[in-house]
Amino acid sequence: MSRAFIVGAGAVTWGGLGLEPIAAAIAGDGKAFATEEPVPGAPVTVGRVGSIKDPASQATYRRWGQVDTYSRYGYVAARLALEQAGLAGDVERAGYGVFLGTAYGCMEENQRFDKYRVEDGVLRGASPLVFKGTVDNAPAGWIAVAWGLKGPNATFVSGDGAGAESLWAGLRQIAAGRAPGLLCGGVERFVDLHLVLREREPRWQGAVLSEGAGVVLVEDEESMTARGATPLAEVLGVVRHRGSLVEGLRAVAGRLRIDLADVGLISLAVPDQARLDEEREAFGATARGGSDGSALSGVAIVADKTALGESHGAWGGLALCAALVRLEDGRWGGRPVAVVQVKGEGNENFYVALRGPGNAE
Amino acid sequence: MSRQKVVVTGLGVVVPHGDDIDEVYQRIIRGENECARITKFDPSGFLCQIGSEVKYEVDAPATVGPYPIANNEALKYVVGAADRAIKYANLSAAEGDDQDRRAIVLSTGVGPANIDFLGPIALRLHGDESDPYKSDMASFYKEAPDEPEAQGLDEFHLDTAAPACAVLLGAAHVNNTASACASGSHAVADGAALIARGEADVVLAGGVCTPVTRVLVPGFAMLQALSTRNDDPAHASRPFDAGRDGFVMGEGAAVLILESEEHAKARGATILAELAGWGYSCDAYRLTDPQPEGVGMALCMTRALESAGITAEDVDHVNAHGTSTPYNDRAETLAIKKALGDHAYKTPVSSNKSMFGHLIHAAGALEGCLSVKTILEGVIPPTINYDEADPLCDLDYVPNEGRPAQVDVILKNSFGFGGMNVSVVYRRYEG
Repeated sequence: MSRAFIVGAGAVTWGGLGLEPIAAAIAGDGKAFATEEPVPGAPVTVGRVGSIKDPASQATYRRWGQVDTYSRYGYVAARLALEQAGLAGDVERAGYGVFLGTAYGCMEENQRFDKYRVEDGVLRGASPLVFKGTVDNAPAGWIAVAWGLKGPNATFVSGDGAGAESLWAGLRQIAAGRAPGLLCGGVERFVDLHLVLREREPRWQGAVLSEGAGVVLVEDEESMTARGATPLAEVLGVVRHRGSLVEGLRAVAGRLRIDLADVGLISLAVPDQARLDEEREAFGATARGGSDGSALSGVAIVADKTALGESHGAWGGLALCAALVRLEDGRWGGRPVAVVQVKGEGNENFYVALRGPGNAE
Repeated sequence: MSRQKVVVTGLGVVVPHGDDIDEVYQRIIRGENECARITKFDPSGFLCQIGSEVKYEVDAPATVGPYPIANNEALKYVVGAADRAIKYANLSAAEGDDQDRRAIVLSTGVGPANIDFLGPIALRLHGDESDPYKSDMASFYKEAPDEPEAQGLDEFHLDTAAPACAVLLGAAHVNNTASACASGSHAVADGAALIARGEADVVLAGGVCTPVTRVLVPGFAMLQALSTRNDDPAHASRPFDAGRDGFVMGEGAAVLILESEEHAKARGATILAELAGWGYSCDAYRLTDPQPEGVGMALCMTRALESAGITAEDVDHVNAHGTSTPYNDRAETLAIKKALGDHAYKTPVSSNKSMFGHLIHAAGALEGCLSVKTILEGVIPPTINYDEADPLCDLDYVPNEGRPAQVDVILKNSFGFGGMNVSVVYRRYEG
């Protein structure tokens, strides 16, 4: 089984492009969430990216003007990851792939098309160029076309877990020798109707709806070494598990052969401070009560959605970016391993285990 | 770790030709067409007025677990197909830890959500057909504060279908892929990979699509992808024919039950075929056009053959993507010749889409079901409406009549927007 490493990361959040705005948001000195009133008199807090004009991306692709907003989020994040990985220049990229996740996909473009009036058999005012954005795999397609990435290409639409699923599946492509590396992560763009309905959903009260993209370039060790790329973190694996956090962590430890005493950071998928406090309390009680769990005492438990918002299908990628931001000197909280939890479908969660670059075995 | 052998033990469809795969196959090998003038909306004045629709009442439960099914056409189709496939395979819902060994892999991109669903939901909320997306959201609260549909955003997710099917199968894991027209085969290949790696024993894999809508039809027509043979809809889908002018949009759902050979044999299941290999590639050429020389298409076919451990000469039949667009059919022909070499000229190639159009996200799975039936029944489905040979499409396309043949290995192609290519190898099961 080949080892896989993250060698590049890129993000688009309402705070800006790249990982610096994420760092600022986590530190509490980034941009504040905005307030919008899709319904007059009913303010809603959001992390909206909005339209995106990125001259650097525009310079990389002559058809940038055709790329819809949803796809632009993914494209910009991918560009940043490729640049950091050293794969943005005139180098061989043909074998690399693109796996992205999204929960709501191309709703904006679809909604736009649904507004057009059909007159004389055609959609009045609609452009064939815009119609290209009405497929959920448009971001992965645009990225592949623009950068000549001819390896495996897929889009996962598994709700909130989609971004993590892309990494879960991407690692399997690398292990099977189908690609030396893949861009993995998630992208999300919400629409007004979505925003209004989401606010009505009781289970999401307290969560701040956000949009954007988080993408990492994952590469096998052989290829990374041959290229002389710098690892940001090793991806020890992705485990899917139903059950409590502690049970999930034990599953991670068992399946990936990780010593829980090495885990220094746990990034949770909960969307607000109240739930983070609940999880910490429950986790602490469990950790104190069990020999396995006690190894986790003192671990830093964070929920970066409280700073970055709930970006659904994009979160798997953004959570990895946030974990990389939290990585200092190759260690998380003085220990080498971080576990990033991403909510999946039903009761299932994804757990991504990372090891800092200074701790490769 | 050695690769687990993947077998097919169940098939389920809800498609224009019917909801019984055995009857559907019989209709297909007789060359019966289901492309006709669209009835789901008034297509008068539309550039393309042709579709392939499910015109019968679909037998599906109103709810599955917590998921409402009745209001969503796509969910009815896929739940109906899943129910039939599970019964075909003589399976029941797993319980407890057994659920961890079962998974759902579905392609649902243009299905439960998106264009087909968001619009109607908004319409129900606002009740104003002239402007379903009122910018004045105040009306939303004033007019429909307790609208039940608004309470459940699950209906808006792209992925509602897979969790609903997971309830039926008793599966702990769900995966959803969206690779446009390649999605159905992509889901089947991903499902097979789960079993091959030993990560699941049973996978329900396939796709659903309901794209015959008042927006998607003119949208695709705008790209000049659809046939405009409106005065002769029965002959509109004519893959590889010189007179082809685009595809016909189709709707429906199709799924396969995939199992590890070991699991299927242990429970005494009837094994229908082996899913022997699969391959992926990406053209990285243009978002909506195939690479004209078929380079990426050929690559995924070659990878599928390698994955199955066979050579080009082992292929008895190619179940083509065969959309009936000028570009695809020409590029696919070139690709088949690249991948199979001289053997391409000895290999019957047919397009099932000539009879039911293009089911987009469900196409690869439906054609996969028909491939399994072809191996079992020994009649290769025809490419109907094949009247005039295109000099650039010079293979044996099984014109107009089904052909009895011993078929042991089928190469199934699916290609999609975004440049995504998937090929799957179905093989006669030798116990």
